[in-house]
Amino acid sequence: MPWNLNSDAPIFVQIIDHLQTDIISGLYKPGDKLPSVRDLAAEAGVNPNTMQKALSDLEATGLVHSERTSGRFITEDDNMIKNMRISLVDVQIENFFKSMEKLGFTKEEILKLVKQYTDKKN
Amino acid sequence: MLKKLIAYDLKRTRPVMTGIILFTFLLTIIIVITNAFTNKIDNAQTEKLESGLIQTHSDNLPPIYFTMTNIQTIALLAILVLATLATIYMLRYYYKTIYLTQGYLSFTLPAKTTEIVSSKMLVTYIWALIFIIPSIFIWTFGYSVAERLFDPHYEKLSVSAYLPGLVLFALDILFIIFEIFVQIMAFFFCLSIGQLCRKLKLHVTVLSYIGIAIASMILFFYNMQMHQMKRGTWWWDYDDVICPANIICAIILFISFYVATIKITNKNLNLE
Amino acid sequence: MSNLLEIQGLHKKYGKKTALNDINLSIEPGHIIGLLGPNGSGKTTLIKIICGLLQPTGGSVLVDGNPVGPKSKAIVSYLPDRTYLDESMTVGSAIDMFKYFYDDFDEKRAEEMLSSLNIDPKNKIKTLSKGNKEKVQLILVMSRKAKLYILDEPIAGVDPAARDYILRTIISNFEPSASLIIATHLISDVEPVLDEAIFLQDGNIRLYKPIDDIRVENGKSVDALFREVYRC
Repeated sequence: MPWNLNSDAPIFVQIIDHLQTDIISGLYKPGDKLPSVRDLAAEAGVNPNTMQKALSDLEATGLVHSERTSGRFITEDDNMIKNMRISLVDVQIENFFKSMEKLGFTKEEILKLVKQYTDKKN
Repeated sequence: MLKKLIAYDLKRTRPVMTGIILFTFLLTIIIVITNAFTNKIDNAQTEKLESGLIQTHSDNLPPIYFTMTNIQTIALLAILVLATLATIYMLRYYYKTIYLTQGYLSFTLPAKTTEIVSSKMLVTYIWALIFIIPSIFIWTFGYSVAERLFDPHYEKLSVSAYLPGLVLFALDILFIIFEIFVQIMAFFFCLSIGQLCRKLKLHVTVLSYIGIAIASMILFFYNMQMHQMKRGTWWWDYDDVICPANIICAIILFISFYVATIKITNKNLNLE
Repeated sequence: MSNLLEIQGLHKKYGKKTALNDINLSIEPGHIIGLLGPNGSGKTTLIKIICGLLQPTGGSVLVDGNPVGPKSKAIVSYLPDRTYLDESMTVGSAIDMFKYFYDDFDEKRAEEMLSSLNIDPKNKIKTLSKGNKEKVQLILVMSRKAKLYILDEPIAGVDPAARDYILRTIISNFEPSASLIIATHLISDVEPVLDEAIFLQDGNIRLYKPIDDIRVENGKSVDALFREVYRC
């Protein structure tokens, strides 16, 4: 099944996000070999050039590196992955607070609601 | 690439055409055999008169004689039907693979348009020859064998006396075949003109074919007439049919129709 | 690097009506390009001219440096928007035919794709479902190692699963030495697969840009932009 890509933002940006999520969530472990550009593109349902661009960008960030003949690999740098996870979580939390504040909740109310929710779930 | 195209077109049309042709050969053989029978019966009752003329008696013919002649007639009609079917099949093949959606396949093959169209024309003619020539051979061979066997007054001619008649006969047949080929090429030509008119394709094709048929008939009889008058007789003979004027006209028409069809298809191919 | 497709001043008139008006286009290898436009914009006319099924009234078309002819047809693989095979043929004989005429036909690839779809080569084409007929035609076209693939409405009238299969096949067969043009009006389905788009309107090229540039510049998908541009 092709990845769920929305139609407004540039595709390569969405691919980068998707891959980062995969890496952080542990779908791809550190040191894992990524599929070839074409296979990834086929899986994602996107143009191989676009996938190539996204992978090059990821390489620039250091999350992914390529060995000349063997292909692309996830970084072995655990710290980088951890930091990335934290910064992504920060973004999610910031977005969450922004949406809740739009609905009219204060920060204290939000925290209380979150605790209620997690207590209910347990 | 032309050879490949011809081989392929032959292969595609082979199943139907070999069926029709073999059936035709069978019918021809039946005609030959029945003719031998009637020949035998006829000649059993002939006598040569003093004047040199041969007289036949047609009384007391056994019923099987008439069965034979009936079979002959039916077989002949069947051959006509088969010939018509074969013609329709090949012309439809030409039309389908050039002017209908199969044309998308034909004209995206890595070959020149001229080659693609010519291949299909050639294949039509090849099958026509395979249909006609062996049939004629079977017929003439069978007929002359029957004559030799059953005609008591049969005189074996020397080869030198026999040959001119045979050659003339062969030329007659060749001319008739060539005339048929010209008519087929005229049909290909009319199809290509019809395609030029986007709205009235069928009308233009049919009308132009009728027009050409009439015009070529007029031309044909005119040439015949001219030749006969030159010979100074009041009746026409086979010589007039195959007069030089007719041969030249047939050749010119054949070449003109071919060149025109190729030119039109190259310039104005427009599939739906 | 010579361009794969070089069109200059292309012009096509039908009597008084102009179908294509001064088309100039250069396409490099290694791209999947959408040829987008409403009906009557000239997409099919342009495609037919490139494939040699129609003569232009002016201008030139060069495919990898070759004018339209046997040499260009040997490197262009075209999928029309209709059934172009003789339906009384079997799937296997269609494969044999492609192998016979095209040097660049990869028989193994075609057979693999057919078996992965459970299509028996012994079946006659007319016995296949509509979706399978389209897939067979696509397989034949994509099994050629051509330089320019042109697909005319490959996913119209096909169920979503088949659509996914077709788009996936297009991506998997991508070669940097070749380019593929998809002419379609179903832009949103095809947009992720493209990397460039050509907008055609009334026989003129309105736009020819990379997809992501269009998204960045306009803040919306190509599909949305298209609807805006061609709003009646």
